[in-house]
Amino acid sequence: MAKYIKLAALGVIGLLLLIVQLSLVNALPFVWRQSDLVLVFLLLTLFLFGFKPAIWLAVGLGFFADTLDFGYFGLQLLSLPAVIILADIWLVNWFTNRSVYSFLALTLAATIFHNLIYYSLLYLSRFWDDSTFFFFTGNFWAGLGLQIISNSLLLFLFFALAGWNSLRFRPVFLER
Amino acid sequence: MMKLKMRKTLKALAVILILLAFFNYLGFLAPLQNLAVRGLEPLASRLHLSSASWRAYSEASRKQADLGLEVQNLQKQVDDLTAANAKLQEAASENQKLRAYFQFFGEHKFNQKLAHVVFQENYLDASRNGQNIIVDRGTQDGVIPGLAVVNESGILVGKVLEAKETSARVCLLSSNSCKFAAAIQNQERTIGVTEGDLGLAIKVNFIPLTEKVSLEDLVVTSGLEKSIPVGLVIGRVNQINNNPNDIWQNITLKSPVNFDNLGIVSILLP
Repeated sequence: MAKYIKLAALGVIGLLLLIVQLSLVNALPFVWRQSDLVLVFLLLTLFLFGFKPAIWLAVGLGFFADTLDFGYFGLQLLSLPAVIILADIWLVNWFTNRSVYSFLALTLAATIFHNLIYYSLLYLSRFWDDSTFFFFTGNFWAGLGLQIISNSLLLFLFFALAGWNSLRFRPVFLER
Repeated sequence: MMKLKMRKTLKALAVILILLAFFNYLGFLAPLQNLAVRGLEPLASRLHLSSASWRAYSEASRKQADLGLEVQNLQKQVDDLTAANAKLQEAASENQKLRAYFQFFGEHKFNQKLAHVVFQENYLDASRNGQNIIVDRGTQDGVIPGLAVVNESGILVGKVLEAKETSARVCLLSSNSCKFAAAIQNQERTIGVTEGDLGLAIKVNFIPLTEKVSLEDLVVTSGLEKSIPVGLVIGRVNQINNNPNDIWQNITLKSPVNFDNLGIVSILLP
């Protein structure tokens, strides 16, 4: 029962972050709007609570994101769970040293792959509309670079703040 | 053991994803989706307004240095407009009499629907500025693709691209995907097509070199598009760069609308 309450609470937080992302963050000037709050939240959930809560949250948030979006249904519903599965594989096999540095590296990889998966699906959905392939668009790479930096800063900030409040996060933050 | 559990989870996940996509295609999820959108819209519109304030503040800080010069220019414009307004009032009065005499229709009465801007799209591969906005009116309110969207002064802001039941996607005038059939209020009433230029400016395309266009000429909608009324203000010509070897003129407009600060817009219904 406690497990389901925790999942529900995480779901509510995730949904609020999704709304903040779409209505507040997306409307900020270019430099400030590149953080992906939903992805950061899912990675934190994966890191702190494990694979199952993270994957179900990814499905739920992907569903809501596609509901609110005007693109083809399923873009976020596919890309968010896919990147969580990949992140879990990396976490188990490569980033086993659970320090903030390995988590930042995980965030970098997850941000890149999430955008590659999402924009590939988006390009396929707009294939007949004569749109430019995102790979050759300067704005995409500039935005991706800024997103990597801002996602990493968000996580760093989370761990810095959490480290002050709880000993639980300290070994994760400062494992030597 | 862990791998077996993971496989079960992934299988369940795949089934759920397929079911969700299938039910969405059949439209079974529409009531739930509409409920979610309606429930989230009040919070979203408030959040969007606060980001607009943030952007307005950062914009104001940057432009402080130019304010003095801009005030002077604006004062001159006000004076010019006052004179023009006086002439227009005379013309309007005459027009009214003529309309009454020939039994024309009275003033254009638009059927409008106010809408809150709730979300803004942020595609990395699109232009940095002028990304599409999402408003909280949809097909339930009579909104269909192709309708004009204006601000509180009746100045054109953009066009409805797509509409769901309770929301619609609107392209902004300054975005590349937003095109309008326009007319320049010069002597020849030149017709062209406006198109956004990387979210920063608005170009007018397909104006031949032989047409005489001047700076500050007013550009309005030409009425050649279905569902877009004639005479909606788009902007004024602020740059003309002509190359004798080109076929078309290179004209840029400036819109009086601040696209960063849209909280409420009006959709002109047919």
